[in-house]
Amino acid sequence: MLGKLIKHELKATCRYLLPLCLILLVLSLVTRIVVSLEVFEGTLGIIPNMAKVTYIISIVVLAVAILLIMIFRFYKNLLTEEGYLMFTLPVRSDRLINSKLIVAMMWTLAGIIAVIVSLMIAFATPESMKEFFNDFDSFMAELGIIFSGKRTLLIIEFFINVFLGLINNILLIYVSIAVGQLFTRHKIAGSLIAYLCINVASELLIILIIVIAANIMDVSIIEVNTIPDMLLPLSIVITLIFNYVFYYATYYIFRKKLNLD
Amino acid sequence: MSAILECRSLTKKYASLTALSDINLTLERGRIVGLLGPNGSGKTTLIKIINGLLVPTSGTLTIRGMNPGPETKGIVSYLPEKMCLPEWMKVSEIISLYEDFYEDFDKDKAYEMLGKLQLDATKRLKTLSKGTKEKIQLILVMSRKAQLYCLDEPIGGVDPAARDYILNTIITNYNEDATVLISTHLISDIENVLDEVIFIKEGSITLHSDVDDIRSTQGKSIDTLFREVFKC
Repeated sequence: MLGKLIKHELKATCRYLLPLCLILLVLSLVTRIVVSLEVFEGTLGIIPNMAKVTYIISIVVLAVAILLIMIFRFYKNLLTEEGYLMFTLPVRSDRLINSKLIVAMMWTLAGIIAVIVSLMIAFATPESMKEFFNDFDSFMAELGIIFSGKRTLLIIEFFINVFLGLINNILLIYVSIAVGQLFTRHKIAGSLIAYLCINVASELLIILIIVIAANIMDVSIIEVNTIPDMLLPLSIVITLIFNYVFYYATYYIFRKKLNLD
Repeated sequence: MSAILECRSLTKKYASLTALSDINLTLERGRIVGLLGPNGSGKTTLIKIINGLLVPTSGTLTIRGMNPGPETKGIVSYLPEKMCLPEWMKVSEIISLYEDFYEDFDKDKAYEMLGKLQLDATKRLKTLSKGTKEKIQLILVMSRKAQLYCLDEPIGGVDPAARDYILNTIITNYNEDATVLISTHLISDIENVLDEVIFIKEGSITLHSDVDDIRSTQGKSIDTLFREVFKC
């Protein structure tokens, strides 16, 4: 059933986001061609710049669209009239959350890949690629020196953090929308207030945890190795806990406190 | 024959009001049941609990012995009072959505009914009129071979001609094992199709009886009885 939900969610989101990805790729190609023509003189010299600006705007539009559609789909599909359909499908309500979350993650990753590919289409040359990989190699070598044997650990921890952090941002929005619908009226305003409150509360909690952890572990000397040994693992654990709480709160509200108009 | 729906001391309270209070109700299979009551009497609340959209404050409601959940949603076909289909989808896309999720959905039957009403499955929902959308929603609901149909105000928004078609659809499309629960306040339109009626008032069931019994013992139509019981 999760697969079917994901399939339908992809169908619903593709109609907005796929065209935007395609526009981005086309604009990056246009940018490359216009910039490489080198025929624009005088005031016409503005044309390549305009192409670049349009291209950059299309990146911003795609990023904003992915975020807005993620919010819109969760709210509209689950908590407006469409919720009557979705919550009476023969599926568990956690599957509904999972399908939305997975598709939101898929689009976030697809957006990142689309931007990288489009950057390469627009600007990459054999020389610049070579330069990039040289820079990358020396960056990695430097990391190896700074963190001695812990470079791989550091990189893995970093990516786990980014991944969990993305999920955290999405779940924070989901739980805020779910809390907002507990209000009989002004559900959207309720969601916004819930978002602000939960956000501030969780940041305060994180600061508190860091202060306590620093005191307990007595980190008087900050070394580079505290990053892979303590900071990143601690961050992973904290984010995991927050993700669990946000997810479970959303699930609980859907199961016990659903309040469709 | 075992009951399809059982409520035991079912109570639902909201912050400021009691929507259902201490409901005890058993519905047998193979019946067409009218859930009748004025606005705000608790009809929709009861139907929402049956469909797992609300959780009771106390008491129990079971469908074939199961609490509302994914299993019961697979055997209950629900027509909400609201138009709940995604507006951006084509009728054919919604049909495949139903086919994907409901094992008891009969696609051919849905297309057959669409054809009879001369509705075009390639149209997007947002291009259709309110009445047409309601018909499509009803077609989807009645194309399932469900064991319990819950129809919340199914004839409220459509013209009398369509009303007849819809009632006809309901009567001819349910099998003898299934029970149909129809909530409405338009009693005279549907009273001829009902086997039994439930009168609900301020969250309590005031009458649950066989239609024929009412006619023979009281000597009046359900509509007349309703008007007497719920006289303002």
